[in-house]
Amino acid sequence: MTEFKNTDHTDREARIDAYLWDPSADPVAEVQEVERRLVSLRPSRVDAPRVWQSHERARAPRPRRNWLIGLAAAASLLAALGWITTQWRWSWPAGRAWTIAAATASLPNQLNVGAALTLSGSDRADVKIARIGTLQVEGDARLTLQSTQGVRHRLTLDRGTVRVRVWAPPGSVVFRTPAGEVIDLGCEFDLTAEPSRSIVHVRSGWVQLENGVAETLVPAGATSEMTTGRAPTVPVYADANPRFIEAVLALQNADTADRAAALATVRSLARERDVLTLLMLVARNLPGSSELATRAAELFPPPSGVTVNGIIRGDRDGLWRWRETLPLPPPKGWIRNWRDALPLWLSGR
Amino acid sequence: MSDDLPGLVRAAARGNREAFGDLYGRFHRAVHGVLIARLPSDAAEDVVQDVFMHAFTHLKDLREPVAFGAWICAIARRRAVDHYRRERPTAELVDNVAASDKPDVTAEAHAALSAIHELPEAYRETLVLRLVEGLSGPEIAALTGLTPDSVRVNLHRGFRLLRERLGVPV
Repeated sequence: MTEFKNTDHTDREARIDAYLWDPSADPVAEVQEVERRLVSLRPSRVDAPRVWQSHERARAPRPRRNWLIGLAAAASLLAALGWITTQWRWSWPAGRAWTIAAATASLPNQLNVGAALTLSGSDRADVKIARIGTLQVEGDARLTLQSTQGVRHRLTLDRGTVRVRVWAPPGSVVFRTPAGEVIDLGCEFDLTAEPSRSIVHVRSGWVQLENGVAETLVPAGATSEMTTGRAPTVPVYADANPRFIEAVLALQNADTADRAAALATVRSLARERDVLTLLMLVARNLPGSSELATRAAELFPPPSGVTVNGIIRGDRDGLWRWRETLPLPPPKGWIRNWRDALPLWLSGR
Repeated sequence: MSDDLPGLVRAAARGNREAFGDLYGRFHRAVHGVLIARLPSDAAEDVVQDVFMHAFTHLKDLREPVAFGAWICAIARRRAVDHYRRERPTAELVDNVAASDKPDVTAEAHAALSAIHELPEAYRETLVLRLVEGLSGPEIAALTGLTPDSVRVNLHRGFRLLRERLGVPV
């Protein structure tokens, strides 16, 4: 507690009044004591710009909020446009003829249901597959539109080569060829049909080959052949060693004389990417499957719980699990191949 | 206090940031004093910003630039009333918490401010402007619109009462 001098009361009051009136006058202890107690209440120095900035913030538009609203509106608009466009693409009246967008002068400008489009020599035609894709056919070919409706379109390719681009749910387009059926799973592929053989090379997505003997799935980058009365060959990547491709075909041909040489070639030339081919050969239970499974495990080990011995003993579930661990897109993931909905010149292919 | 004041006010009204900064520098203590005479100290600092924002956006309504001080103090009084009505429970709570967290100087200051708040209304603002903000009698008179004699009387009587309540030895 501060001690104060005992001075004349009137004089002290006058000095207090003087100091209260003018802080630069002689200080008085009583007033200074009260000032001391109150000093911590003096305003902290806040620069005027803070006030100014608060004002400007209050007046400024809210860009973040506007940005979010704009983004949400754009997303909603895109979703609505996407839904409308999809519904439009997937709708196609039953039996309506397809448009032939460009063709050799001698060819018709539309493809009617039941009518065959026959080409020869240097003929070429660009056909619109309803609203879901395109088809190019050229050379010596015969193509018939069997049926068309919505996202279910069936054709027969008796001979010739077509290049098909479809972006639609799996099974929308099916080609019947002399050697079996070729089913699109949302993809781009080349199909060549001969009197007893069909060859498919897949550019994107997956294609299914199926005849009365077996069926096989072919991923992008791979090729498979289907011959009348035989299972479709296992898919083999087109960029594999040509000797590897030849040996894979030889292993699937019952007439091959030197199977041991073919087996040795396959084992020696297989790459990590070719493990799919090896596993699908193993699934066929061909002679040498144990060596192929062992080589596959060396290149791409099976998942936990799956063993080579188990596979050799016939563990089919384990084989599928192994195959599913390979770095491949899902066969029914057609929606990923959205580039197939773009014009060819825009798709980057 | 009135040197260049009309010019500063007119410049600030035209959007001159520097002029507004000068006005803030000159008057923020007075505004703070008007507010702290009515509100808990924590609330007062926030309302100061609010008062100047309001003043800045309504400067064109001020007909006599030389009366800026009295005008902004009047705004502060209205804002204090609005704030007190709107946020009294919270403000009191914040004040109490602040006092309990800082038991020494701050607690002493809050006790002194509470004593001022218990004085007759006529003395509160004058005393705070002098004892907290350090303004002189003539400055207080110019800002509050009171006559110099009224300021003298308020300071004299108000301080006697405050001194007694605080138990400041004579």
